[in-house]
Amino acid sequence: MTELKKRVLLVEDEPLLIDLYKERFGEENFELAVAQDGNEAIKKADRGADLILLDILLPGINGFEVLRQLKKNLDTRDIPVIVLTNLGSEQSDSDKQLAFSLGAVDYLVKSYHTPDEMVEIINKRLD
Amino acid sequence: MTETPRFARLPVLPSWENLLARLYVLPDAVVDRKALRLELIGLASNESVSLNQLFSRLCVFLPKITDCEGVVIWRRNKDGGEVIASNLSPKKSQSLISSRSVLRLAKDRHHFFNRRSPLALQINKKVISYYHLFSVGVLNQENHFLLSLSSKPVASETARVFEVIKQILSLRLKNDGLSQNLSQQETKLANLTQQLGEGMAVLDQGLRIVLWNRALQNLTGFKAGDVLGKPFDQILPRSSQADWLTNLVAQSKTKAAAHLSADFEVTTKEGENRWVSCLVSAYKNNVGAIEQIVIVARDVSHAKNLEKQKNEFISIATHELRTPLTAVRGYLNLLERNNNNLTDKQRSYLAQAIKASDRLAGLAEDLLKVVQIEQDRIQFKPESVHIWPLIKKIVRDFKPRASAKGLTLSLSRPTGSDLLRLDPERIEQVFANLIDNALKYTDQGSVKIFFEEVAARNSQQRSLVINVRDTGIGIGLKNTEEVFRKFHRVHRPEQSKEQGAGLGLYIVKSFVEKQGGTITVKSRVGKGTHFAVTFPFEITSQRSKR
Repeated sequence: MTELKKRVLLVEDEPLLIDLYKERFGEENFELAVAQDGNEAIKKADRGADLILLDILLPGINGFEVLRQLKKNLDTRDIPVIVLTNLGSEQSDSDKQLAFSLGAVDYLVKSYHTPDEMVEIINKRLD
Repeated sequence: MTETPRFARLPVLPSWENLLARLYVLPDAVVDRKALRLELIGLASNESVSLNQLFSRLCVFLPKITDCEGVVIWRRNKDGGEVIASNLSPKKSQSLISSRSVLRLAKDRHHFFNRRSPLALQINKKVISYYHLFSVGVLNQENHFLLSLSSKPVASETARVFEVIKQILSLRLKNDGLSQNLSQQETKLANLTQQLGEGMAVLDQGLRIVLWNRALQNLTGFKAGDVLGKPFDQILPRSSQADWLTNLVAQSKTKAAAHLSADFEVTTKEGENRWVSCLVSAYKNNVGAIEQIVIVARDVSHAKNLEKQKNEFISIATHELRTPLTAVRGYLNLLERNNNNLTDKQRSYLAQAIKASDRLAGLAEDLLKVVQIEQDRIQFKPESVHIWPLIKKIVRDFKPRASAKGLTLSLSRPTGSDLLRLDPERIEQVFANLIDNALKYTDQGSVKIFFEEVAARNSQQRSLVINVRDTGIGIGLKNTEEVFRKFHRVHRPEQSKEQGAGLGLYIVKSFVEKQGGTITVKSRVGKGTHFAVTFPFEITSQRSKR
């Protein structure tokens, strides 16, 4: 019997980082979907996800707006969203505050965390 | 009260009152001329009557209250004599004072009575035989004289009237000379103030504007005419975070003169925002009330804009750096995970690359923090914090590094309270940075963290001092305070293997001060460095309220 794999949606437009995360997350026991802009993110989230890693600076609608729409939609509102960005700071910061006020569960600055650390954070959330 | 020269009385000896009284009490043998004398007294003592008006009136009055018939008031200059006032025709009076005998006498500046008239002339059908001459004083370096004429020798009483008149006139001349000088000085000063490149304003005790120079007009767009007499606040409203004027007034209550320098943003008449750097001084009189406030202001908008652009640039550049940095660190991390196939040499290369990328990441974060500090964008969330457990946790995290270097890292427990009101996250950064530095610049010996309780001078307030003392390479005494300056690196590369951008201690100091603390440093080269961070204890009553 095969256990149904958990699904993580990575919203990221930077190919360098998409490749990096794909490479590392591929070793883990979850399925990775990638959306490269805001609209694609909303569409893919609608198909179901257990966790969303959401960038802020995206082509088209930005991450904050994506977050707002996800939280409005009954089907996606309960999916935990980790904002994963290179904007602002993990310490008290206006961007971080905005993300939390829109319903994000965490705010991570990409350059702070190695892929190993990211995997640890993701697995904790999925358990 | 000490008065400024502007309000100083002019010298009055003998006093007007004294002189005028003397004029009034002079016996009068001829007729009752007291009413006329009173009128003259009124005239002479009235400062709004100009000197020339007074001279003209004297020429009318003197023949009425004495037994002389003609009066010429004149001055001697390099071309001879010049009539200022007379009851005679200009031609007659000019020829009188141009006569050789009069000019010769005028050299001596003595009193001459009952001299034979140099001209044959008649006044009111009386033949003038005598003239009388005396000097009345100097104005603009020219001697002034009074020449009177009579048909017969004057009585001694008339001579006494003249004597008093002479004193009145010399006093007026002296006064006028001094006022002229004073007003010249004032004009000079006013011109200087107007031409000053810096904006200058003077406020009175009610903070109303009494002076507003041209540079300030250019800076703010408000003309002096628009603002004089109005409250300063009404013209340039202060923003709430820069309530410097209130601070200054409060400061000046305790000091003889209070000075303050502050940068603040003002809105010009045209609605444009400009940054001004101000030097403000409050001057008090000897009963302690503010007499005037002098503000010297310089437009620093250009510099502020440059600073803003610089900060924006650093901010954008750092954010842009983060993405490739994330990739570099990420792939190095992947390589490290799968390093089984690497040779030892390759592994050591990898370790160096990871170290360098970590440093680059740290530098980017520090740069962002500096920009945030300068833009006042760092938020502090103070709460009641027990500092000891917080530092204990940091020390625990640093223990492995200390052991690896063979150093003792110790923390002693505070004897009394350790409850402070701080933002725990920020304060953790402060001590992590100080301990990190201490370990970095110490090759043997120890790093000790210990507490002390101190009382502030002249106050009930007690504070906690948190000391971080190492036995490291130290910093030269001359530049101990400079360690807190931005981009300042104390250690020359040859002194230390450690590298840094010199931002850490700048951030530390800002974080400490923003939370109401102070930080000091003492150090001796080769002996070690001692940082002391002081925070006031939280006041218990406030804690229960919060």
